[in-house]
Amino acid sequence: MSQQDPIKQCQDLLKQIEQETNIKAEDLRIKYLGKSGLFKNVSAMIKDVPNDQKKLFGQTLNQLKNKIEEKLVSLENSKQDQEKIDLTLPGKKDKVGHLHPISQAIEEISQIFEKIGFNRVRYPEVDFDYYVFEALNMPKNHPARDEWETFFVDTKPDYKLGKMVLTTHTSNGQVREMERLKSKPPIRMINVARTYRRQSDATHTQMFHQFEGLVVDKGINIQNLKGTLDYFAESFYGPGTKSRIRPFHFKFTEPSFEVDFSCHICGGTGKRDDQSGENCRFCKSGWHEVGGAGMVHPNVLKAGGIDPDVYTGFAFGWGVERTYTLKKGLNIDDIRLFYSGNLEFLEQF
Amino acid sequence: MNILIPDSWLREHLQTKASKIDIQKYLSLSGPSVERIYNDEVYDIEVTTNRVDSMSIRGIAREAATILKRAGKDAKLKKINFGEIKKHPSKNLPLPEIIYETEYVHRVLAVVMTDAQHLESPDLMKKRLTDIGVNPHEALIDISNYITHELGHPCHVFDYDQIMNRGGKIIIKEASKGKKFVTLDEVEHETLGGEIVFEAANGEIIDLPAIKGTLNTSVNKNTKSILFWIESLDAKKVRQASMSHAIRTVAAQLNEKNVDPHLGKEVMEYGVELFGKLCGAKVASDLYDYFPDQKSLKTVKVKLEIIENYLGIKLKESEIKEILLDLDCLVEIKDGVVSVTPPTFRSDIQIGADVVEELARIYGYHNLPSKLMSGELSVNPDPNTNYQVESLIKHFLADIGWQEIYSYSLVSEQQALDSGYQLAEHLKLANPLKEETTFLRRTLVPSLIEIIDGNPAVKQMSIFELANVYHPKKSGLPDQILKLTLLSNRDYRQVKGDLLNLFDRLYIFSHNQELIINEKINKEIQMPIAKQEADLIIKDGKSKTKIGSLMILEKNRVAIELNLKELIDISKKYPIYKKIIKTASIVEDLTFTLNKSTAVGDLIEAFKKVDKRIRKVELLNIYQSNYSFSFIYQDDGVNISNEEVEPIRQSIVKIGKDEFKANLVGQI
Repeated sequence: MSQQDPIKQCQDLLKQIEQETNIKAEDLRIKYLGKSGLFKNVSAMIKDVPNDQKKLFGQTLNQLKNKIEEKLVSLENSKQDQEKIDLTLPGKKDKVGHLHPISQAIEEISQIFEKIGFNRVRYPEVDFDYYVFEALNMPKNHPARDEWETFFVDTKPDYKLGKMVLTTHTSNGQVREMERLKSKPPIRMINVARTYRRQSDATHTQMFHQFEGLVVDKGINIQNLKGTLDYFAESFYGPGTKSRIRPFHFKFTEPSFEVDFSCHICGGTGKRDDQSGENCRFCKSGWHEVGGAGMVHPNVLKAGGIDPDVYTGFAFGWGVERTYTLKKGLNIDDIRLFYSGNLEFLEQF
Repeated sequence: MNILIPDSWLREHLQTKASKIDIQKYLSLSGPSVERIYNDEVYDIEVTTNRVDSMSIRGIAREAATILKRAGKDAKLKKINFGEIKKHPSKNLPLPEIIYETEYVHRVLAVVMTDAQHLESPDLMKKRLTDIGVNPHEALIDISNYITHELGHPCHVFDYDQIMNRGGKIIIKEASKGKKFVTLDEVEHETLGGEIVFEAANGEIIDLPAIKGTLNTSVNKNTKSILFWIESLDAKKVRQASMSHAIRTVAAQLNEKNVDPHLGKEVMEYGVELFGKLCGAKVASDLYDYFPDQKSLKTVKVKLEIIENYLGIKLKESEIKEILLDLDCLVEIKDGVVSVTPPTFRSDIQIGADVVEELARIYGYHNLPSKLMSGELSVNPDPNTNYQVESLIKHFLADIGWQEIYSYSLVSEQQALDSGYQLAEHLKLANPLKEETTFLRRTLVPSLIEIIDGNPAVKQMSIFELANVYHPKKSGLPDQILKLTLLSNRDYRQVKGDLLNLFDRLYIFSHNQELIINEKINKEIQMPIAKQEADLIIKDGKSKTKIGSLMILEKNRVAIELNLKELIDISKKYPIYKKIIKTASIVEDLTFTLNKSTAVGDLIEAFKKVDKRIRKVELLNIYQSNYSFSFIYQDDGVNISNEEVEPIRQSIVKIGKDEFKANLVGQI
């Protein structure tokens, strides 16, 4: 082999590779990158390159290697380009998992409220009677407590805070949030947590989820609660959904309300749309009950160290499952399915 | 509490032309909720616990009259007038002697009637009782049920002779413990002590007042004379007795809610009228009325400014007055303050906010505008977690094939024991609904196992849950710790690969943190259901944090339980960018034959340490005892040559052989 300038040889190869056309990709690989291929031969010449030219040689060598790889890819592609793909072939799906529908609902709900400045929090699921009832203006043995089928923990009560219970509602977060913020409004809280009641049927499970909204500031009024409910209804169920509040009674709010959203199945008419004149099977006279709300009772504000003569607030607390299953066309009629761990159910979400 | 109100009965008290649909609509918007109408006749109405005054036909009529009027419908509460109770000139029977040994009695009314005949109730009364879910018996019994429903104050009928035969005394007292009595449904009970009872002179219990009568003094087929009786007792005492004896009669449910004792007189008069008319009974005694401490009416004051604060609109003073007058309140407005004196039956109106509620609901919540609040925002994120990272983790796991699960926090005794903690180290419910949901769990693993077992048709199953576990403490609330738990029946390498991918996604490794899997020796294993167990530790420089555990369970299922808080702490929002190396690398595969006892992870670590130019060592595949590894050699500064790789390769083979008895397959 003649002693040609290694750099020149390298440059020649660069030109040569450009002109390689009628060659298969694999043959090109062997010709250039094989054990005794052209690239290997030329790179072995490094020992003959004078020191001051080594850098230039290295750069040219790199260029050459990149060029060879580029050519290989282009040859592969042109081969593929000539093949026709059967578009009727069935797709091959990789296994994907699914977020649980309750997680999906919680995310959507949280995002809706976070947009209007609510802070998401999570408070204890096992809590003292004080936070679950007493601080919420519900003295011991009050008949209002009957509505909460409470689970008690078999342990000694705290001498100040009372018995330990599984939280029957997320309202235990109300006074806890006031305490966390050192009784300094503004408060805009959305507390999402597991809650527990001693009940079990198609529409009730021993464990379920609630989300609790709490707003406390100067000048908060019933109109603001209505505005928040309307905003949520439209965001969660779609444009045109209306909300309404009706009188109710909770010890920890005054006034207290039952919250309804208009039925999107019958469009709020309460009648089926098949001209049968029959009642809509999904709602009560055009409305769905979703849960409770109210203006925070002065005693609750006081329990949280907030002066009710200066501040007012509203609160609401609804079941996540109930709120979610009212989505149009979802058709879940047994909320126990959420906790069944049945993959046939869960993989649909 | 739901109450059934037949429309025709309601209209005996309510004068209106409003349709049933209107009544349903407007009552629901501003008062008690009419949930449905049965047979186009009977309203099913939910009355809240604070409004015992509405738990009757008359009470609903009163609400409806005010609400319908406001809605522009003509409506009026009809007046009722019952005749005064007068003794029959030819009849004269003494009242029993009533002795008060307790201060918990607010009022007692009683009258003796005689010549009572045992007749059927009229058809209308029978139909109405049936409509409201009460079985008709005979008029002597039906009348008290009928009046209670119509006027809202429970009343009772004793067999007069049964009381007189026992000495003619009614002693009202708090019971001592352990006394037996039989209620009129022939069920035997024993006093718990402290409940209010009526006793005869001989100490026999002759009534569980305000809750249920006893068999020994109740009306029977031989009854000729009756003692028609109304008592008003302390509501808390009634509730205590009713709850502890689990006797939840209509009477108890009303009496425990502070029924207005002023109602008693009307009820008495109405009863006497009906016993006379339907049973031919004649009044044989004077009316007994014990009403020791009639409470004076209380006035509630509320500033006009507060009303405006709550409603967001200004109501005219005349409008405020009109609404409150319609609700039978006395009203005075002076110097910007509204003074409201509610009627005796509205003891629920106690503070300013209660007055606001009355004004707002009758004005109509639906008439108030809807407006989002303005004002300062509160920026105080939850210090205990990071919801964005939680969400990222869940989405990432779901996207790479893991199914999220929600399972009950309450577990069975066996599942509790499977955690490796004793039952006494768990929180236990005092009143579980089911045996399998009695203990608060200390790990999610057994719950997830149950779910994999419950889906036998799914061959490859990877599930995860994010939920609290509960660790009791000596005092105070238990530690409630969020765990991210993964369970899979796939191969260990795949599961571990997913975990590493998750850690990559959380930029844990990019920040030069290292995962150490510290396997425990057998006796240190926490969970009895685990064959192998290891601590998962993150090493960051010199500091080490335990972030969870890894377990190999039966059938080689893999469980990983991570502490969410620690995981969030070590996770990062972005990577540390590492400069892209432009020099060429050499890749080669080497296969070694390994002993069964060789820890492949250790071997790889040893290979990596051979030379800093070994950029990466990866296990490619395993065939019997042959393990193929891929090595990438790269120098940051120059293109690495085969000649330079040669000595590195030899060191790799030597280390493998000398330190791990791993023999290279083939020659180098």
